[in-house]
Amino acid sequence: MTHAGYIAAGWSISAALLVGYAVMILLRGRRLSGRVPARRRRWMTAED
Amino acid sequence: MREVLLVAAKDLRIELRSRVLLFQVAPFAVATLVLLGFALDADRSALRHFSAGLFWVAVLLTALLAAQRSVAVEHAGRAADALLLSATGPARIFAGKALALAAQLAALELLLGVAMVVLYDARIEHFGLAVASAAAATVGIAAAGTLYGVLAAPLGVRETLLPVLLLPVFAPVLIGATRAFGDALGTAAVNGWAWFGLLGLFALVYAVFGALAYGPLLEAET
Amino acid sequence: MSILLGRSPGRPTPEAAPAHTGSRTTRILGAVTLAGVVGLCLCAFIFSPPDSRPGPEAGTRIGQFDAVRLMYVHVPAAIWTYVALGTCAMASAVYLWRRSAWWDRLAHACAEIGVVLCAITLITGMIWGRPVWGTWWEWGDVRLVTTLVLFLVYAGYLAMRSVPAAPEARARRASILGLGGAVLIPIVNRSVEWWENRTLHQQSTLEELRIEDLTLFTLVLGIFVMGVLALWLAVHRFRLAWLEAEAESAGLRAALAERRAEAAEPAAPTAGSGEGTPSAGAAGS
Repeated sequence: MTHAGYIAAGWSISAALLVGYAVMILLRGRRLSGRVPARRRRWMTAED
Repeated sequence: MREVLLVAAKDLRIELRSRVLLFQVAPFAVATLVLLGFALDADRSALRHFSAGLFWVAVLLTALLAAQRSVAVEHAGRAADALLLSATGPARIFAGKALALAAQLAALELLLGVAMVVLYDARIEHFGLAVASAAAATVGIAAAGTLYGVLAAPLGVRETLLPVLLLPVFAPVLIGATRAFGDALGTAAVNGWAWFGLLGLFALVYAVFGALAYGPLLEAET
Repeated sequence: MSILLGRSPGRPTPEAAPAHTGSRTTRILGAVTLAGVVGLCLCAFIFSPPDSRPGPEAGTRIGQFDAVRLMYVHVPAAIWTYVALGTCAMASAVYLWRRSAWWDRLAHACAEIGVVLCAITLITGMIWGRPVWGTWWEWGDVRLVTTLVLFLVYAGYLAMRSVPAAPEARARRASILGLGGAVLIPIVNRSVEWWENRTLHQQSTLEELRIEDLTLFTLVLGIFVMGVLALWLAVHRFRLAWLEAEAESAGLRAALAERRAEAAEPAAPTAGSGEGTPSAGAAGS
């Protein structure tokens, strides 16, 4: 494979950014959920 | 129109009395020009070749200070509330403040222009083009500076926030004004009047956008 | 709207409601994303061929070779950057018109995702440009420079949003900024285009590449997967913005209730001799 280093760098930086951002959102969501009463978290009332 | 001029005259009178423009902003502008000269080494031909770009970088950095100053004046002592109470429409307040800022910038540009000729050995070949493009750029800078200035003004971090918001907005002005001045100074073989058109477009867009957006922004402050 | 907030607003919930921003919608989107990423990796690295075609001289081959595999991230990220930031500008405009917090939160969520995707677009573009163009950065390229300005503008937008302020005032300022970005970008694009009247960029990547069926398929798959991922992120981010606003006002409400309770029953003076404020301050923080 030509340019293997570039390809690995490009894909892994992208993956790291996206995964890091997603984890950050999810963790902050979990932390804040505890401080908001359940009836104010409307999407929880969907049947699941 | 009378109200626009009243608001503008009020701002200019404050500037005349406080002397901030004369004693703080103007020396900053010249110091910037001198430092940019150091950055390019004492190479006379390089300085002349890049004089248009260096001039406009100095103008934009100075404009940041001037825009900051223009809203700080309003924010101190909640003068903005008094302006709102005066029943002048937000679009007119915006026009007046932008006009005052443009007048201050024009004075600074005159000073910087003289400094550019003296320090960088620039030669203005097409005077009309230089004046016209500087005027268009100044109106654009003043409109954008007034709009984004009032946007950042009520926040405690405005000194650091305003440059972050404003500098990317100045990108097309820097490109356009540098090219137009390159033609006027004879350092770039481009059609300067086409760039004047782009600067005019920028000024028009931001004047209209600013006048429309100023109302909701003033509301947000109160 | 139901996709963002759940289907039946207002219905009472068991107290055991899960404390996170997920729901069935996000779980489906997440599963599709994960499956798509696996499929995309297989297509991008194993099934799809490198870009190469016979050169002008016999026996030589030209093309991007394996560097084309970076395109499967770069192009989808670029497309969804523009969609996300475009949505942010549109939501900002609607906010100014309707003044509803819903549109403000949508604009916030889209701007944040757009900035992340824009960073990925710029980084992968630079990494791709180094082997193919021979340079990390090319000032003469219109799309490159415009995208960088776009990134800076919306990074400034997020910077402004991160400053604490009254929600209503912040929303108005943010909507002006979000709209301002959309006003600015065409002018930047035009000016950069005139500035260096040349472009290195593929006029359209699809035309430039020798289109193997699998190359095209992988690109489309990449766009699809990145789109689902962006939607998944957007739903979570929107709910997070909702929670942030709720937590802000819940903290305030709790503090108010506490103060009222104190005012109602001035009894039970403890050793602290009527120091009611510390507890209220703690609840409000």
